[in-house]
Amino acid sequence: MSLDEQVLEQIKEINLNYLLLAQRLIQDDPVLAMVRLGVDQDTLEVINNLSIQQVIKMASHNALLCGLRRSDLAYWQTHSNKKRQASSSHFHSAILLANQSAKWGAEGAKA
Amino acid sequence: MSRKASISPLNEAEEIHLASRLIRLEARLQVLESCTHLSREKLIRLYKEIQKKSPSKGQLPFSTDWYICWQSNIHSSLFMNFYQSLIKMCELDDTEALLKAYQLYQEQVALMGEKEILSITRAWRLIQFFDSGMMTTTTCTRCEGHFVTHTYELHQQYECGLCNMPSRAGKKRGYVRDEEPEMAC
Repeated sequence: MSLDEQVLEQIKEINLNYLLLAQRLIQDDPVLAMVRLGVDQDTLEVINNLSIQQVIKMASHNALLCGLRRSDLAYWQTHSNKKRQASSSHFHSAILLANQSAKWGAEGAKA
Repeated sequence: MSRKASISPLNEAEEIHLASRLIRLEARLQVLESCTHLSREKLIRLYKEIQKKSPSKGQLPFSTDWYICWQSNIHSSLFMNFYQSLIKMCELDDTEALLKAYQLYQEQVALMGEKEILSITRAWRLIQFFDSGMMTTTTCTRCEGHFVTHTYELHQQYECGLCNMPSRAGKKRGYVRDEEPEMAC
């Protein structure tokens, strides 16, 4: 397998695992699933109702279905700051991410 | 919330389940009374059954200042961010929102290898402070994170305790600031 093919396989695998995990999270606890995935209720219901064939098809893309929930530079710099004591950075990024789920969900609903 | 009104057997089963979840988290009696419709006597019996001891008596602490101390503030802010995310994303019963937000808080704290500083009772009290307008979240001007603050303090250039760590931060007894976390990331 060429390097490109390997990369495409990895992307497909992540997509597949992501969708399967999403379905599992929704079935386990629909409320927490919204926070863990950062996706609104209606979209989650659609994802949950996908058949395995549909999931496999949706996973077969050359790009990732899921993106970084924090794509802003400031967030990543906060966590990568080597001068900061490790546990403080971790706590800091946890606080920032805990709120992001609200923004993410709202934006997803508007789209 | 009339405790004297009788509740159906099904509702009572649900209430007992809710109370049990709170009791397992060692919620104080006042929290149980506020969050459920069960009588005080029933709650005490349930508490004894689950915790194998009587619930603590006495008044709950009622200080907003606790939530402003450096360490309490970062734990409280983490909890509050989860709580506000939850209630924004879906319609939830108050007690359910408290329990789910607290679960998320516990999970994240465990993942970071930290000790839980915020008890379920403190978390419940914090929500009461927010509901009554005594406390709120303020956005840090550096990281744009939301942190718990007093409502009526002037915060023109608010910086959170993580962007602007006070020199004595984390030097309380029992919290070793300079120790690397035991769990490898």
